[in-house]
Amino acid sequence: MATITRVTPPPTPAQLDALAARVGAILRERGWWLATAESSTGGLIGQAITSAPGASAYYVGGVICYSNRAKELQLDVPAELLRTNGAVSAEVAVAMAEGVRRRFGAEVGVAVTGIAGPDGATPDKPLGLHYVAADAPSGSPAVERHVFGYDRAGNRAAAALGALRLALDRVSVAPR
Amino acid sequence: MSRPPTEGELVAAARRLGDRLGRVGWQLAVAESCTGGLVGHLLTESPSASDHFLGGVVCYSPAVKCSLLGVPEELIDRVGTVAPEVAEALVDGTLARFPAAELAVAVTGLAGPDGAEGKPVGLTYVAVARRGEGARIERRIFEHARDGNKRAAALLALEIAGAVAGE
Repeated sequence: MATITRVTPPPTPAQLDALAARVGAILRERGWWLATAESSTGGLIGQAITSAPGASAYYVGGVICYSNRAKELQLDVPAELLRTNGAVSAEVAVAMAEGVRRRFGAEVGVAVTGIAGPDGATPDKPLGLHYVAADAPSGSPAVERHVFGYDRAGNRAAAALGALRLALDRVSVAPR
Repeated sequence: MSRPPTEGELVAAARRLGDRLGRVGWQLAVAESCTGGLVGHLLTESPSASDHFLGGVVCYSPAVKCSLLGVPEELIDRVGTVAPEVAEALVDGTLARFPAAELAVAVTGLAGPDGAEGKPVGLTYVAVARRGEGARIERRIFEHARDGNKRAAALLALEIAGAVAGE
Protein backbone atom coordinates (compact mmCIF):
# COMPACT_ATOMS: atom_id res chain seq x y z
CA MET A 1 0.00 0.00 0.00
CA ALA A 2 1.39 3.39 -0.98
CA THR A 3 1.98 5.94 1.72
CA ILE A 4 0.66 9.34 0.82
CA THR A 5 2.24 12.24 2.66
CA ARG A 6 1.11 15.78 2.10
CA VAL A 7 3.34 18.76 2.62
CA THR A 8 0.90 21.53 1.76
CA PRO A 9 -0.91 23.44 4.54
CA PRO A 10 -3.66 21.45 6.30
CA PRO A 11 -7.14 21.80 4.80
CA THR A 12 -9.45 24.54 6.01
CA PRO A 13 -13.01 23.92 7.21
CA ALA A 14 -14.24 25.53 3.96
CA GLN A 15 -12.25 23.00 1.90
CA LEU A 16 -13.70 20.12 3.91
CA ASP A 17 -17.22 21.46 3.53
CA ALA A 18 -16.77 21.93 -0.23
CA LEU A 19 -15.49 18.38 -0.70
CA ALA A 20 -18.24 16.99 1.52
CA ALA A 21 -20.81 18.81 -0.65
CA ARG A 22 -19.33 17.20 -3.79
CA VAL A 23 -19.62 13.76 -2.21
CA GLY A 24 -23.17 14.64 -1.16
CA ALA A 25 -24.19 15.68 -4.67
CA ILE A 26 -23.14 12.29 -6.07
CA LEU A 27 -24.81 10.39 -3.25
CA ARG A 28 -28.01 12.29 -3.89
CA GLU A 29 -27.83 11.59 -7.62
CA ARG A 30 -27.31 7.87 -7.01
CA GLY A 31 -29.87 7.68 -4.21
CA TRP A 32 -27.28 6.25 -1.82
CA TRP A 33 -26.98 6.70 1.94
CA LEU A 34 -23.70 7.45 3.66
CA ALA A 35 -22.62 6.49 7.16
CA THR A 36 -19.38 7.52 8.90
CA ALA A 37 -17.14 5.81 11.44
CA GLU A 38 -14.74 8.28 13.02
CA SER A 39 -12.02 7.61 15.50
CA SER A 40 -9.22 10.19 15.37
CA THR A 41 -11.38 12.78 13.59
CA GLY A 42 -13.94 12.64 16.41
CA GLY A 43 -16.92 13.82 14.33
CA LEU A 44 -15.28 16.24 11.91
CA ILE A 45 -16.40 14.33 8.81
CA GLY A 46 -20.01 14.29 10.01
CA GLN A 47 -19.73 17.98 10.79
CA ALA A 48 -18.48 18.68 7.24
CA ILE A 49 -21.12 16.48 5.62
CA THR A 50 -23.90 18.15 7.59
CA SER A 51 -22.68 21.64 6.76
CA ALA A 52 -24.63 21.24 3.52
CA PRO A 53 -28.36 21.97 3.80
CA GLY A 54 -30.33 18.93 2.70
CA ALA A 55 -27.69 16.46 3.95
CA SER A 56 -30.52 14.50 5.53
CA ALA A 57 -31.33 13.25 2.02
CA TYR A 58 -28.14 11.15 1.94
CA TYR A 59 -26.48 11.12 5.38
CA VAL A 60 -27.85 8.70 7.98
CA GLY A 61 -25.25 9.42 10.62
CA GLY A 62 -22.41 7.48 12.12
CA VAL A 63 -20.38 6.41 15.06
CA ILE A 64 -17.72 8.35 16.88
CA CYS A 65 -15.71 5.42 18.11
CA TYR A 66 -13.05 7.13 20.12
CA SER A 67 -12.42 4.09 22.32
CA ASN A 68 -11.54 0.54 21.25
CA ARG A 69 -14.58 -0.70 23.13
CA ALA A 70 -16.79 1.56 21.00
CA LYS A 71 -15.22 0.10 17.86
CA GLU A 72 -16.18 -3.38 19.08
CA LEU A 73 -19.60 -2.58 20.51
CA GLN A 74 -20.87 -0.07 17.98
CA LEU A 75 -19.17 -1.27 14.80
CA ASP A 76 -18.55 -5.00 15.33
CA VAL A 77 -14.81 -4.63 14.83
CA PRO A 78 -13.49 -7.98 16.13
CA ALA A 79 -11.59 -7.65 19.43
CA GLU A 80 -9.05 -10.07 17.98
CA LEU A 81 -8.34 -7.72 15.06
CA LEU A 82 -7.85 -4.79 17.45
CA ARG A 83 -5.46 -6.89 19.52
CA THR A 84 -3.38 -8.25 16.69
CA ASN A 85 -3.29 -5.26 14.33
CA GLY A 86 -3.99 -2.39 16.70
CA ALA A 87 -6.72 0.22 16.32
CA VAL A 88 -4.62 2.18 13.83
CA SER A 89 -4.37 -0.33 11.00
CA ALA A 90 -5.69 -0.87 7.50
CA GLU A 91 -7.67 -3.92 8.62
CA VAL A 92 -9.45 -2.04 11.40
CA ALA A 93 -10.23 0.90 9.09
CA VAL A 94 -11.87 -1.48 6.61
CA ALA A 95 -13.77 -3.28 9.39
CA MET A 96 -15.03 0.08 10.64
CA ALA A 97 -16.25 1.12 7.17
CA GLU A 98 -17.95 -2.23 6.63
CA GLY A 99 -19.39 -2.22 10.14
CA VAL A 100 -20.90 1.23 9.95
CA ARG A 101 -22.32 0.57 6.51
CA ARG A 102 -24.01 -2.59 7.79
CA ARG A 103 -25.15 -1.22 11.15
CA PHE A 104 -26.65 1.90 9.63
CA GLY A 105 -28.13 0.21 6.57
CA ALA A 106 -26.20 2.56 4.28
CA GLU A 107 -24.81 1.96 0.78
CA VAL A 108 -21.57 3.76 1.59
CA GLY A 109 -19.43 3.56 4.71
CA VAL A 110 -16.43 5.79 5.38
CA ALA A 111 -13.98 5.30 8.23
CA VAL A 112 -10.92 6.97 9.75
CA THR A 113 -8.51 5.75 12.38
CA GLY A 114 -5.21 7.38 13.23
CA ILE A 115 -2.74 8.93 15.60
CA ALA A 116 -3.48 12.65 15.61
CA GLY A 117 -0.89 13.43 18.24
CA PRO A 118 0.92 14.92 19.98
CA ASP A 119 1.36 11.57 21.76
CA GLY A 120 0.56 8.00 20.84
CA ALA A 121 3.31 7.15 18.38
CA THR A 122 4.98 3.73 18.67
CA PRO A 123 8.14 2.34 17.03
CA ASP A 124 6.14 0.97 14.09
CA LYS A 125 3.36 3.57 14.08
CA PRO A 126 4.55 7.14 13.60
CA LEU A 127 2.79 10.26 14.73
CA GLY A 128 0.31 11.37 12.07
CA LEU A 129 -0.27 7.83 10.77
CA HIS A 130 -3.84 7.46 9.53
CA TYR A 131 -5.84 4.89 7.63
CA VAL A 132 -8.94 5.95 5.75
CA ALA A 133 -11.35 3.43 4.27
CA ALA A 134 -14.46 3.55 2.12
CA ASP A 135 -16.89 0.76 1.37
CA ALA A 136 -19.32 1.40 -1.48
CA PRO A 137 -21.41 -0.65 -3.92
CA SER A 138 -18.83 0.00 -6.65
CA GLY A 139 -16.43 -2.69 -5.49
CA SER A 140 -14.46 -4.08 -2.58
CA PRO A 141 -13.53 -1.70 0.25
CA ALA A 142 -10.73 0.76 -0.48
CA VAL A 143 -8.17 1.76 2.12
CA GLU A 144 -5.33 4.29 2.09
CA ARG A 145 -2.42 4.89 4.43
CA HIS A 146 -1.31 8.44 5.17
CA VAL A 147 1.33 9.94 7.41
CA PHE A 148 0.55 13.57 8.04
CA GLY A 149 3.09 15.96 9.43
CA TYR A 150 0.88 18.64 10.93
CA ASP A 151 -0.11 19.39 14.52
CA ARG A 152 -3.08 17.58 16.07
CA ALA A 153 -5.71 19.85 14.51
CA GLY A 154 -4.00 19.77 11.13
CA ASN A 155 -3.63 15.99 11.16
CA ARG A 156 -7.31 15.61 11.99
CA ALA A 157 -8.39 17.98 9.21
CA ALA A 158 -6.07 16.23 6.74
CA ALA A 159 -7.46 12.84 7.75
CA ALA A 160 -11.01 14.05 7.24
CA LEU A 161 -10.05 15.38 3.81
CA GLY A 162 -8.35 12.09 2.93
CA ALA A 163 -11.46 10.14 3.90
CA LEU A 164 -13.74 12.43 1.92
CA ARG A 165 -11.44 12.18 -1.12
CA LEU A 166 -11.51 8.40 -0.96
CA ALA A 167 -15.29 8.49 -0.55
CA LEU A 168 -15.57 10.78 -3.59
CA ASP A 169 -13.43 8.38 -5.57
CA ARG A 170 -15.51 5.35 -4.59
CA VAL A 171 -18.94 6.91 -5.13
CA SER A 172 -17.84 8.29 -8.51
CA VAL A 173 -17.39 4.74 -9.78
CA ALA A 174 -20.58 3.32 -11.24
CA PRO A 175 -22.02 0.43 -9.21
CA ARG A 176 -21.29 -3.10 -10.37
CA MET B 1 -26.35 35.59 22.11
CA SER B 2 -26.86 37.69 19.01
CA ARG B 3 -23.95 36.15 17.11
CA PRO B 4 -23.01 32.51 16.79
CA PRO B 5 -20.25 31.25 19.08
CA THR B 6 -16.71 31.49 17.77
CA GLU B 7 -14.33 28.57 17.36
CA GLY B 8 -12.46 29.84 20.42
CA GLU B 9 -15.58 29.88 22.57
CA LEU B 10 -16.51 26.37 21.47
CA VAL B 11 -13.05 24.98 22.14
CA ALA B 12 -12.96 26.69 25.55
CA ALA B 13 -16.34 25.19 26.51
CA ALA B 14 -15.17 21.74 25.40
CA ARG B 15 -12.02 22.14 27.48
CA ARG B 16 -14.02 23.20 30.55
CA LEU B 17 -16.23 20.13 30.18
CA GLY B 18 -13.20 17.90 29.70
CA ASP B 19 -11.58 19.34 32.84
CA ARG B 20 -14.71 18.72 34.89
CA LEU B 21 -15.07 15.18 33.61
CA GLY B 22 -11.45 14.58 34.50
CA ARG B 23 -11.99 15.94 37.99
CA VAL B 24 -15.04 13.77 38.75
CA GLY B 25 -13.65 10.79 36.83
CA TRP B 26 -16.67 10.37 34.55
CA GLN B 27 -16.73 9.03 31.02
CA LEU B 28 -18.95 10.77 28.48
CA ALA B 29 -20.85 9.59 25.41
CA VAL B 30 -22.83 11.74 22.99
CA ALA B 31 -25.78 11.49 20.61
CA GLU B 32 -25.74 14.15 17.94
CA SER B 33 -28.46 14.90 15.47
CA CYS B 34 -28.36 18.45 14.11
CA THR B 35 -24.74 19.04 15.17
CA GLY B 36 -23.65 16.11 12.99
CA GLY B 37 -20.45 15.34 14.93
CA LEU B 38 -19.40 18.85 15.94
CA VAL B 39 -19.65 18.13 19.68
CA GLY B 40 -17.44 15.07 19.32
CA HIS B 41 -15.01 16.98 17.17
CA LEU B 42 -14.71 19.77 19.75
CA LEU B 43 -14.31 17.35 22.65
CA THR B 44 -11.50 15.55 20.82
CA GLU B 45 -9.56 18.71 20.03
CA SER B 46 -7.81 18.06 23.34
CA PRO B 47 -5.12 15.37 23.28
CA SER B 48 -6.35 14.06 26.63
CA ALA B 49 -9.89 13.47 25.32
CA SER B 50 -9.50 9.70 25.39
CA ASP B 51 -9.36 9.86 29.22
CA HIS B 52 -12.98 10.91 29.46
CA PHE B 53 -14.63 10.66 26.02
CA LEU B 54 -15.87 7.26 24.83
CA GLY B 55 -17.48 8.35 21.60
CA GLY B 56 -21.03 8.57 20.40
CA VAL B 57 -23.60 8.17 17.71
CA VAL B 58 -24.39 10.71 15.03
CA CYS B 59 -28.10 10.00 14.69
CA TYR B 60 -28.88 12.20 11.73
CA SER B 61 -31.79 10.18 10.36
CA PRO B 62 -34.95 9.34 12.33
CA ALA B 63 -34.38 5.65 11.54
CA VAL B 64 -31.00 5.69 13.30
CA LYS B 65 -32.53 7.36 16.36
CA CYS B 66 -34.88 4.38 16.57
CA SER B 67 -32.73 1.45 15.45
CA LEU B 68 -29.47 2.37 17.19
CA LEU B 69 -30.55 4.48 20.15
CA GLY B 70 -33.87 2.86 20.97
CA VAL B 71 -36.12 5.88 20.50
CA PRO B 72 -39.64 4.45 20.07
CA GLU B 73 -40.93 4.92 16.51
CA GLU B 74 -44.31 5.69 17.97
CA LEU B 75 -42.80 8.62 19.88
CA ILE B 76 -41.32 10.15 16.72
CA ASP B 77 -44.61 9.61 14.88
CA ARG B 78 -46.37 11.49 17.67
CA VAL B 79 -43.98 14.37 18.54
CA GLY B 80 -41.47 14.46 15.65
CA THR B 81 -37.69 14.25 16.05
CA VAL B 82 -37.14 17.72 17.55
CA ALA B 83 -38.88 17.34 20.88
CA PRO B 84 -37.90 17.16 24.56
CA GLU B 85 -39.13 13.56 24.82
CA VAL B 86 -36.87 12.55 21.93
CA ALA B 87 -33.86 14.34 23.44
CA GLU B 88 -34.49 12.46 26.67
CA ALA B 89 -34.89 9.13 24.85
CA LEU B 90 -31.62 9.80 23.02
CA VAL B 91 -29.63 10.25 26.24
CA ASP B 92 -31.23 7.14 27.71
CA GLY B 93 -30.33 5.23 24.55
CA THR B 94 -26.78 6.55 24.64
CA LEU B 95 -26.26 5.43 28.23
CA ALA B 96 -27.61 2.01 27.24
CA ARG B 97 -25.28 1.72 24.23
CA PHE B 98 -22.20 2.95 26.08
CA PRO B 99 -22.10 0.90 29.29
CA ALA B 100 -18.98 2.67 30.56
CA ALA B 101 -20.53 6.14 30.25
CA GLU B 102 -21.45 7.95 33.45
CA LEU B 103 -22.76 10.97 31.57
CA ALA B 104 -24.55 11.32 28.24
CA VAL B 105 -25.53 14.34 26.22
CA ALA B 106 -27.93 14.47 23.30
CA VAL B 107 -28.80 17.26 20.91
CA THR B 108 -31.64 17.43 18.41
CA GLY B 109 -32.68 20.50 16.48
CA LEU B 110 -33.51 22.19 13.23
CA ALA B 111 -30.35 23.86 11.95
CA GLY B 112 -32.08 25.18 8.87
CA PRO B 113 -32.40 26.73 6.41
CA ASP B 114 -35.90 25.24 6.51
CA GLY B 115 -38.12 24.42 9.45
CA ALA B 116 -39.81 21.04 9.70
CA GLU B 117 -42.48 19.21 11.64
CA GLY B 118 -44.35 22.53 11.88
CA LYS B 119 -41.50 23.81 14.06
CA PRO B 120 -39.31 26.88 13.59
CA VAL B 121 -35.75 26.90 12.27
CA GLY B 122 -33.28 27.06 15.13
CA LEU B 123 -35.42 25.08 17.59
CA THR B 124 -33.01 22.92 19.59
CA TYR B 125 -33.29 20.56 22.53
CA VAL B 126 -30.34 19.39 24.59
CA ALA B 127 -30.67 16.62 27.14
CA VAL B 128 -27.98 15.65 29.64
CA ALA B 129 -28.25 12.75 32.04
CA ARG B 130 -26.03 11.14 34.60
CA ARG B 131 -26.51 7.39 34.80
CA GLY B 132 -29.32 6.56 37.20
CA GLU B 133 -30.57 10.12 37.38
CA GLY B 134 -33.21 12.07 35.51
CA ALA B 135 -32.30 14.09 32.45
CA ARG B 136 -31.88 17.84 32.40
CA ILE B 137 -33.51 19.18 29.26
CA GLU B 138 -33.04 22.64 27.75
CA ARG B 139 -34.93 24.24 24.88
CA ARG B 140 -33.69 27.13 22.74
CA ILE B 141 -34.58 28.81 19.49
CA PHE B 142 -31.41 30.05 17.79
CA GLU B 143 -31.66 32.68 15.12
CA HIS B 144 -28.44 32.24 13.19
CA ALA B 145 -27.75 30.72 9.77
CA ARG B 146 -27.33 26.92 9.52
CA ASP B 147 -23.69 26.85 10.60
CA GLY B 148 -24.32 29.27 13.45
CA ASN B 149 -27.28 27.26 14.70
CA LYS B 150 -25.14 24.12 14.74
CA ARG B 151 -22.42 25.92 16.66
CA ALA B 152 -24.90 27.39 19.13
CA ALA B 153 -26.45 23.95 19.66
CA ALA B 154 -23.01 22.42 20.25
CA LEU B 155 -22.11 25.16 22.75
CA LEU B 156 -25.36 24.60 24.64
CA ALA B 157 -24.68 20.85 24.78
CA LEU B 158 -21.15 21.43 26.11
CA GLU B 159 -22.32 23.98 28.68
CA ILE B 160 -25.21 21.93 30.02
CA ALA B 161 -23.03 18.83 30.23
CA GLY B 162 -20.38 20.91 32.00
CA ALA B 163 -22.98 22.22 34.44
CA VAL B 164 -24.23 18.72 35.27
CA ALA B 165 -20.66 17.44 35.69
CA GLY B 166 -19.84 20.40 37.92
CA GLU B 167 -22.85 20.08 40.23
